[in-house]
Amino acid sequence: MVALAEIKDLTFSYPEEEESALVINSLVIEEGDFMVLAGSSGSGKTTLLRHFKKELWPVGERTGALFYQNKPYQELSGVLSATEIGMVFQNPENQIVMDNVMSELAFSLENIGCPSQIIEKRIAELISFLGFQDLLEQPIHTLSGGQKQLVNLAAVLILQPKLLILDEPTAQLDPIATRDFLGLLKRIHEELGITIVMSEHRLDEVLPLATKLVIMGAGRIIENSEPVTVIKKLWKEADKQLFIPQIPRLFLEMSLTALPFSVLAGQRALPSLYQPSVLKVEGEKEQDNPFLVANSIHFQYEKNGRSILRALNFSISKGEWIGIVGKNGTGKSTFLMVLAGLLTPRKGKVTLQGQSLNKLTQQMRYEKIGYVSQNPAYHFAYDTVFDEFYQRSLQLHLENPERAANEMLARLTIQHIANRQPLDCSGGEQQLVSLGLALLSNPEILLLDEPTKGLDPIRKYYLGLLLQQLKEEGTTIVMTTHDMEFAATYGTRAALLFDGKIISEGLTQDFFSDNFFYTTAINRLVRKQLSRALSWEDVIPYVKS
Amino acid sequence: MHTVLNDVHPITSFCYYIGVMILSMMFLHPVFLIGELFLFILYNICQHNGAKMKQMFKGAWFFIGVIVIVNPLLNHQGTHHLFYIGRNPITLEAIIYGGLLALSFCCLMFIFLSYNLVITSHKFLYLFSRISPQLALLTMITMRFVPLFIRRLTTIKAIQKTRGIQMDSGNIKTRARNGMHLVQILLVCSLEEALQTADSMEARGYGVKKRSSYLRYHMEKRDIFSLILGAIILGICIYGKLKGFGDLQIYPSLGSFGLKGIEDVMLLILTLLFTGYPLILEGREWLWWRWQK
Repeated sequence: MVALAEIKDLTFSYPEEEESALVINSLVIEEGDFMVLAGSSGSGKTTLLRHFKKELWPVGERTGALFYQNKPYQELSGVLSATEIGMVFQNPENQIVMDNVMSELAFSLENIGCPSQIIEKRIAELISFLGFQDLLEQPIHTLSGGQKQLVNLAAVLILQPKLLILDEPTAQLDPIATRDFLGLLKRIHEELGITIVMSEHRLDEVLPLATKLVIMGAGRIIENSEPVTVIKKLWKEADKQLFIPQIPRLFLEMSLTALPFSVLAGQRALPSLYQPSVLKVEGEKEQDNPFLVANSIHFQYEKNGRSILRALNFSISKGEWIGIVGKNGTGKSTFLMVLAGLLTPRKGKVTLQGQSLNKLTQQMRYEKIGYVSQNPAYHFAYDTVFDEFYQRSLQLHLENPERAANEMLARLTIQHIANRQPLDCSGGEQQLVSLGLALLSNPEILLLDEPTKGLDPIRKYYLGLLLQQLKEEGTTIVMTTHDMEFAATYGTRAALLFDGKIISEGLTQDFFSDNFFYTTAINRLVRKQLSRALSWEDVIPYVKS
Repeated sequence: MHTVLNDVHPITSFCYYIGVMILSMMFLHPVFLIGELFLFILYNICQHNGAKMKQMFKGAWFFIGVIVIVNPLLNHQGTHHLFYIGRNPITLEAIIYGGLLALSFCCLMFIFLSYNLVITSHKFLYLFSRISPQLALLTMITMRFVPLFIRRLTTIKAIQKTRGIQMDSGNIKTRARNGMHLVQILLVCSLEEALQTADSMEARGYGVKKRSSYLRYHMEKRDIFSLILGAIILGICIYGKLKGFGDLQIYPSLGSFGLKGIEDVMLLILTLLFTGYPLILEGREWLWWRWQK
């Protein structure tokens, strides 16, 4: 094997930070690798990835050596680095420069001074490879998040890179778009032999593709080997088990030797299970006391615009936790904003405890309703995290705002960032800060837009516990999510939004076991034997030992 | 609506619009102007611009009225005195001249209406990007960012309501302070996101070399032929105008509305031929589909 890129004795620290952000003795990326980087947020994944791309080296102190094709990175010319090493980032929206797909693809080649005929030829070739014909002339803002991310990948592929670096590229995509994106990555890896290095939190879908799995912690490489070996090692450490995806986790729990990663491989290796004696069907509870009700909601952004929500009916009782799933762009976020009273529906009415939302004063409304958007940065308004909480407490006329702010910091276990500028925190921390802002008023209902977006498995686990505790204290929760496992583990009910309507809704188990695509990996694995199992915990009682 | 003119090379279609603008301002003669106006309305209908024409007319009739009325009030030349306002004569010549100006204005209005459909922002950039690629890129990015900013501000305004930073209630001072706060948040968030865009641009080699620019349009025979023919027609028309043909004599005394001699007729035919260029293209297309199928 030939080393494409190599790191030797690298240490790196950000300015004014005492601890090193990266300490890496040796990391070799061989030609043809598909390397997946995992690790909790703040473990240095992004910092490491940026070191493979000279233009994006973070500012700070750096010692050690980095090589690309056995030459030091410092000697790499601008054009070579731009063409041979491609990078795709997390946010699909912000990477796009131009306003339609064709110009976006041309932009990359224009930068390196390609003549027009070559640009034309490359675009033609790439478009045929990706099957993009229909998108070509479309304005960018009409594309969905998943399509935008595909365009971003295409805009890098058109430079014909040898090394492709991806920083959590699917974090903001829905499950179907994620599979599309990963399917394309698989194709370019197998058919073009492009070397891929990508960081990811949700390992379920990428592990089957990976040839190497690297686990990072505190800026160091903890494990670096073939995925099967690494997973087996993680299994032995209690605090790392959360990183193991559902399917291999089930097989490890059953103490089987086989360690499949995909549904198909799993089904082949699955032993026969006890059949459940009686199908436990929980009767649909009558909703005696609906808490928040939306009645035939119609919504569109412009007078003659597309209707985003049409005749949507929804109700939730006190103390429930409902997860709304569905593709990107079907109106989930819009729906939550309508429920929160942030957008006024064209027709229909939202009532909270029988009272119309617009009869409540704004102040009252947002004491009762806690809303957290999927873009936490839009919630921030002050210079430190403490100040954010303090100012909101003042605004709520709490008795002791200082104490309330400190209590909230402790509750979310983020005291260490109290004096940091909110925007300088990691994505997961920002998510918690915006949640804390909503929680300060002790809301009766929480509306959460993609609360698990960009969270590592450990933070996700603790967020689940925190929300569960709130639910037990009587808080009602409505969340939209792309994370089927999260919705299945914690929610009491789930609903599918499609084309502006709620197509199906039910108790979590009924809902997911009824779905074919929108369900958990475990359910897809064992549905032939245990149609109602959603997580590995559900399967374990039926294992023949 | 897509017409054949949309497929013509941007240089040719841009020159066409420059040409018709010159023609409709040059020949202030009722027969010329009415002919041109008729052709523009027809072409706009071909472009499915009917609703927009009506809308535009609703906005513009007042302006047209002003042109027709104000000219005779200020201009008292001419020999046919119709009546007096105070000591100022209102002359037939001045009224006719005002009418011609209004007609010419209508022509320009319809020209711009169809121009907007044909010369898209991309074609415009294409035409001028060779003068400065950097400026073209900057324009492109700015064009994308304005709607992005507006969408973002709307969301931020809604979300900040949940934490009490809003401009709907409170005294002027708090509202103003909250407004400033919102703008500050927008700027901070936008800068944050612009950094990511900058990373993506840099990762794709922006600035490593002199930028080339991707030319998406090719000059076809038809485009070159149209350009040459158009230039000849326009040349003859300008020459004719300089020689004093194709004008309605208004001052000092109103001449006849008809065309004077063969030269005027020739000029009229050439003008209409030039103006009708997109209709000729459209007709050719129509005939082909009609008879080939």
